[in-house]
Amino acid sequence: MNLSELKAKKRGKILKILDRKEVEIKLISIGICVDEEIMMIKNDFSGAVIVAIGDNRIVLGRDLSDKIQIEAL
Amino acid sequence: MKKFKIALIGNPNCGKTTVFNLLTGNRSKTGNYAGVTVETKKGYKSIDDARLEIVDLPGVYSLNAISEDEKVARDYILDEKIDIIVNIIDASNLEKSLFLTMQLMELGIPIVLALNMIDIADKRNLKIDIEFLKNILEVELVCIVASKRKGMDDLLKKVLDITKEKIRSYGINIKFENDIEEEIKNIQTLFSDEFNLKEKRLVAIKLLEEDVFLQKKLNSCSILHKIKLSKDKLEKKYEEPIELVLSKKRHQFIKKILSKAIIKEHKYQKTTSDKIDEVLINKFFGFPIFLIIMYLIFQMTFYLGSYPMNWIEQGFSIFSSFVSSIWPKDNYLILKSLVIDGIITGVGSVVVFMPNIMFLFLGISVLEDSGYMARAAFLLDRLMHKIGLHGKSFIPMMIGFGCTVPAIMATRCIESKKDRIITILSLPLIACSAKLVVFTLLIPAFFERAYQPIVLFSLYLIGIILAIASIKIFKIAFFKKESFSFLMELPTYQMPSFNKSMLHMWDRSKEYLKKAGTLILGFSILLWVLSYFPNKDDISKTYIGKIGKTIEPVFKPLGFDWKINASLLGSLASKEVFVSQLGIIYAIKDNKETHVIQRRLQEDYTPIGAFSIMLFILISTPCLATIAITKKETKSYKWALFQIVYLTILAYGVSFFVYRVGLFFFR
Repeated sequence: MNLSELKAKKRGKILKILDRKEVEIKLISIGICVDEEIMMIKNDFSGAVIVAIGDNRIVLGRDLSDKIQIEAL
Repeated sequence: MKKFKIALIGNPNCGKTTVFNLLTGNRSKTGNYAGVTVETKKGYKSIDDARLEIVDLPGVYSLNAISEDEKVARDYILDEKIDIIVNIIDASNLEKSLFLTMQLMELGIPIVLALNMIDIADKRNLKIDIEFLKNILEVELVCIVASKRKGMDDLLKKVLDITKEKIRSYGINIKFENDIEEEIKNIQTLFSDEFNLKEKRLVAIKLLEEDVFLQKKLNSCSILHKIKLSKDKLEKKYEEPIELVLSKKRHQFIKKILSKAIIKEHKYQKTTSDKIDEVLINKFFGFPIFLIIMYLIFQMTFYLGSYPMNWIEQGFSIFSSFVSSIWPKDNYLILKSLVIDGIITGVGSVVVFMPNIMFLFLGISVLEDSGYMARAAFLLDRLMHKIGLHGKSFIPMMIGFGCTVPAIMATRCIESKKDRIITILSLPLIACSAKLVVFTLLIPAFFERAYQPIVLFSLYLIGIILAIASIKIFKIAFFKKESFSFLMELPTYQMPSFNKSMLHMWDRSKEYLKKAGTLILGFSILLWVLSYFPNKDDISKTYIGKIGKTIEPVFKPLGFDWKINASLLGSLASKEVFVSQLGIIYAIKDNKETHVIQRRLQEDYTPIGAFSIMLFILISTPCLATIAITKKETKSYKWALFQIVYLTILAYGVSFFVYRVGLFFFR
């Protein structure tokens, strides 16, 4: 499933990032990498989402969260 | 005395600027969102026979140079001869911070890690095995709490020890997979002796990652071609871009180290910030709360600002009568006019708006320091998306209400070049505080008290609508390239400290005062000369009057006469000069000490005429400073020129339309 489909307070593990390499490198540098566990903090099913990686809170545009494939945990 | 260059670098929001201020005794402003340090700042410290030049670089997540602020930091590090890197690390966020650290350690420059916010890590029950980390990374490491001024002496001592070559601290290099290492070695043999061994490795890796800066610097087609072959070979094997392979490897390496270095890993827990966010960015309440906060800031700006404004106004009028009364009778009359009508009136009419500007900047700095600004970007993302940009473009727009120049600089955190240029081009349409100066003069003169807020609001709204429309047009007309999605870290909420906010406000307001004392003073004198000669008794016959009259036919359809034209000329330097120029024109015209421009204006213009003037001021050619910064930030005259022409034509069109339609209804 896509990250954008993950409901708030649910966890997932990142399987694949389907964006340009520049975007993926930026994501890695901010802590979002394949095999990482991620938790959805806020998803209103329109507009950007907020995810947690450890103590970090990161805002991802909806288009970007559509391109991150995850496995729900 | 030996000189050393020290670079401070770290992630956004890791406390870097605070460390810089502590080390140099400087008082730079800090913020609580990415992109506060958009330019490199320098400070100095002399200690123990060494003179340290300390440079504060923009906060970045990596040296891959995707956004402009990353490019600034990367170029600086690669181009300048830096003696020591001080890498500030957010101890409560090690995994993310160390990604940059790994890249820095590849540079072969002595490096000291400063583990900041160790108190917050403690509070979160995060126990870090410092000794282990230090040994495995083969690097000097100091624990600091910059906000409480702790650990600075230790940090300085380490830096000094390195300058004295008492200790060595370069950090380790990650070993990549064997085949990658082999290609790196192959590439290294291509270079002549212009690089030393460690540099060769770095350059080889960076060139594998297609670093544009180094590609240009190397400027050798044959070498670049060979590197391309190596890259292709590796990419075929790994089935993805080599940049990604290396980034992932760095990330894995950090994970491995941290699994041993962090003694008690804590699990997810709801933070206070999360709880606050449940209200402040709530699906239903978030946006109304945002509007209320904006309303309060503008209310504070105007309501609270009006009291000190009166005091300053009275002060200048008393000062002006005082100068006049002590002036020797009938002597040096030209000089007297220059001082009273030119300088005091000119500068005074601009300084009077200082309180408004201070309150506006105070509001903006509280939003920044508290961490709310990033939330506003999140909230506005949906809206910004509709116009084709995303939330990150909102922060510059917000700052644009204060001043367009820092706003344009704040666009550096936008990764997509296209979105960045579009944002820069449309920013001058946001009514900045200098335009507000013009509005606060004209609105009370022409509109009844009850209508004043609506008129002001409509001007701001027209600016915003035009900015949105321009963004849409630019998107369709100029750019078809791919954009970069919204990606932003949400900072933890902080109580904005009184001192910090005040300092922050003062830092920015000071620029305004400086402008009043230099640019506006100079222009006041120039304009006074133009309005005094050759015939001071009839301003319409002076140079400025003649210029104004010559261009009158062009602006007549908008309802402007030569006096407005003459003042508009002044506003080319800076929008608020329009006010001081009007002041000069009317003061000289009367040859009396009445500085009540507003009453005189009422006799000459109608409300609809005044509205047309304000629209023109709002939209037309931005001030010199904005044009200069646009040129600098877009690195091209083309965009600066485009901005001037586009905005002037737009301003003419809008003022013409509104004035003509207005005349039809209100005459």
